[in-house]
Amino acid sequence: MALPKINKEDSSFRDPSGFIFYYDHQIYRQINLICKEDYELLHSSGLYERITKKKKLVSHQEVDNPIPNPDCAYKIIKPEKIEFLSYPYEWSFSQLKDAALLTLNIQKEALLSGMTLKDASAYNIQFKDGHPILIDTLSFTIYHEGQPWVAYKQFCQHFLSPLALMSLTDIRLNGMLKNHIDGIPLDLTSKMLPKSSWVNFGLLSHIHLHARAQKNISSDDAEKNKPKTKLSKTAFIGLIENLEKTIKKLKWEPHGTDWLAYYQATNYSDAAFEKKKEIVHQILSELNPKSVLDLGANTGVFSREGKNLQDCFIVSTDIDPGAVELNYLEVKRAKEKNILPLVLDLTNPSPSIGWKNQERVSFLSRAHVDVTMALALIHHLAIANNIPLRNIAKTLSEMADNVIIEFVPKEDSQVKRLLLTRDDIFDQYTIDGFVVAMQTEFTIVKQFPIENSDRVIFQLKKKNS
Amino acid sequence: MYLDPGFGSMVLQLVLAGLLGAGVIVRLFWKKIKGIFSKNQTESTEIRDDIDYGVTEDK
Repeated sequence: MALPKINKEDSSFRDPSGFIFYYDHQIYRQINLICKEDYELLHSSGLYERITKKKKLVSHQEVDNPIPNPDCAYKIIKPEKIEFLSYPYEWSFSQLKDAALLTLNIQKEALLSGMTLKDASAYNIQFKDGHPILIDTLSFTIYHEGQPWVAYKQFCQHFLSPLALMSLTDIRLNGMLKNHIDGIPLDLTSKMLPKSSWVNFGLLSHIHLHARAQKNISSDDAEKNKPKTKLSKTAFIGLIENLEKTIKKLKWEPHGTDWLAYYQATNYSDAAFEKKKEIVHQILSELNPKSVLDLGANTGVFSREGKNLQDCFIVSTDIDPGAVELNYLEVKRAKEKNILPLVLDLTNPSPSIGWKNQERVSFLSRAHVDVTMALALIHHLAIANNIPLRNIAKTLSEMADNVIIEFVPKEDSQVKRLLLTRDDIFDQYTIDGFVVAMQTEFTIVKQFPIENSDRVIFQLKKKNS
Repeated sequence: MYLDPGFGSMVLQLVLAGLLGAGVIVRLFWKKIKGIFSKNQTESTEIRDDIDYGVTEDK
């Protein structure tokens, strides 16, 4: 029998301390000899135990094999599993803010144990059990008093820049992270922030003056102007705490975004709304999936119909950052461990970015689940975005074998509103046309007409699955 | 160190942290003064007490 192949993770190459690899459907990390001392101190100082216990760093087990590069290997570890990888451009404001505060918090914890973070990438943070967690065990290095924070620039680009822009300029601007894989350049942020940000001490220092220092203090002078002063530990803590204070002060509250009042404006009576929840609950309970992807989830009301299923993880996506923000705040409030709210425009999902287009994986290649839900979404795709019904069926079939989808007919006031200002070029957009299109990829398991409305929920199963 | 910390970023950081570090010293000094009058003060946990574990907790 052939042994399973070892596959290196494409995004794990910048730091020579080690790398991530996959073997037999499991994830591992090789720790190279060059960071033996760092890894040993992480454990012997008690830092690892302290922060894994508080769920700030993923825990791991040391294993004996497989060893992909034995020449430089010190140890192989098997970290705990992250259910669904997500990236900062898919997070709502508070998700990114919590990830930033966690990074600073871990930096302070590290200093207590004589260590420091050698990087502060937003991609080192993932969401697990409803909260952010550091996934890079190799970010810790021995702290020598006097040395500055190597990751300061990276922290400002990855976290402070997008948070300040989202809070003070426009909530959609974390989308810029898709263009700038190492965080938003500070000079660009400085240009885009409002003038009022100049009187905020934190933003003035860490963004505006920082951007000017980068431009005006040239590295050509690095040798002769090498700073003689060292950064004391107290000064280091002062810097971290000021970043913390600056970030805590940044706020954003959803109002005026598209969908927040949507539930009030839909075609549902309270009874029909409850009925819809019941139908979704019933289908999910029967299918008993381990993973669900809710597309167009708004604040996640229907996603939560699956939250009590055993070992089921739900990715709850919406195009509206306000709805996703409220969804995440609810996850925090109710301490929900199996729901991950994400911002996603299904008509333009996150692409693969970075070196060879392989560092950050596209949304669709991460989106393989047991059940996909698309409730009150079809008209936005088919009518507002002109996506043919068959294309929708094809895309859904590539994500999951089971689909729960709601058909919203032309008689529905939401569809009428979409057609108000344009020609109705959608002859095929009827319930029969919908069924024919879906049947190109799926068989129809059941139909549930929703009482007191014109809408119908379909349970679909992929052909030959 | 595999990241380039950036020369300008380093210089700014040093200046800024110098200023902010002075603030920390003043704060710790006041804490100490207050500690003389309060029984429950434990000096060694000063940094740790400031850590906000709020990412998993309600506020």
